[in-house]
Amino acid sequence: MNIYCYPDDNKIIQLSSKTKAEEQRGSVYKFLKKLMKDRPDLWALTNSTLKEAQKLDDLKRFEKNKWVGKLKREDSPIYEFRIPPTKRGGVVRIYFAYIDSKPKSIMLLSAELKHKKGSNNGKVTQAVRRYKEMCK
Amino acid sequence: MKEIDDFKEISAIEILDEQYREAENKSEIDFWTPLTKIIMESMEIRSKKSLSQNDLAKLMKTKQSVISRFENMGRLPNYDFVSRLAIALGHPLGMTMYGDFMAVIPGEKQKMVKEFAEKENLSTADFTQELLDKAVESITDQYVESQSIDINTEVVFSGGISIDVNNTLSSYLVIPNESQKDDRLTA
Repeated sequence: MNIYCYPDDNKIIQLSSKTKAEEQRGSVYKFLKKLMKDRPDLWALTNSTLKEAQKLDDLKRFEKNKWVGKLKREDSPIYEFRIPPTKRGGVVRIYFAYIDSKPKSIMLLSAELKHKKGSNNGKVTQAVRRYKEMCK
Repeated sequence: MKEIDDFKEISAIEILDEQYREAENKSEIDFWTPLTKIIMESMEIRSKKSLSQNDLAKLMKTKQSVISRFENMGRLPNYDFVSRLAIALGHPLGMTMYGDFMAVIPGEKQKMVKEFAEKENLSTADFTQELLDKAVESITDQYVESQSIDINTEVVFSGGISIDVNNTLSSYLVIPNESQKDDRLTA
């Protein structure tokens, strides 16, 4: 699988400075950077998970083990990585969508560290918004 | 739908590699990485062998919840668990202090490598080591070649003393430390 991160600004802009370059890397980049600092255990697991996913042609193995699931939404085909599926200390959720125009490719749209079941769907909403932007 | 090329392509893997290179807490990441890799490998083999967590637990004479806790990083496994896990999955456990120099034959090539090893009358581990040795040997020549421009130049030490390396690769590659410097210059 090719795995991409959704940029904050999807226009191709000249990278004039490192800060600007970091800004353009998007929220998943920033999330991972913070995760590395706060939860190195989950960063390492996310790293291994995405690298394993990259080697595969599809994510069936992850789906079977409940590391990947499709969100129950009618408006957009959004999936999530749950890394790991259940962990008391928190689960990394990375929302993504398949890129129709490019086979075996996914776009990571947004991410969060979830500690418990909650009704905060902010990151999911963000993922849906970005997916729609991607489909324009 | 927009083409992927309409977006600036940002590879998640490149981002992760870059973050690791620049990490201030690399030792913490290095602490967890081997565990995360064996979790991935365990799930990979389990999946290839169509084993459920329950099946694996039976092979290991333990409970499914133990396997689940391990895969969800809910417990730090001890040596006994990891070794029994590897054996239950059909491979002996491999451990090394040189994790940064360790390599694993990709899953889809393992059968072929095993067959070659059998033909050579070697254990799979010995044959794999031999493959690695040969690969390193083949890049050594390139390495020497890439260093050759500098081999005839002078090496200037911080004290202002300089020596001709005189085309001796070993002299060039093994820069003496402070205590060895004087001996080496007088030799």
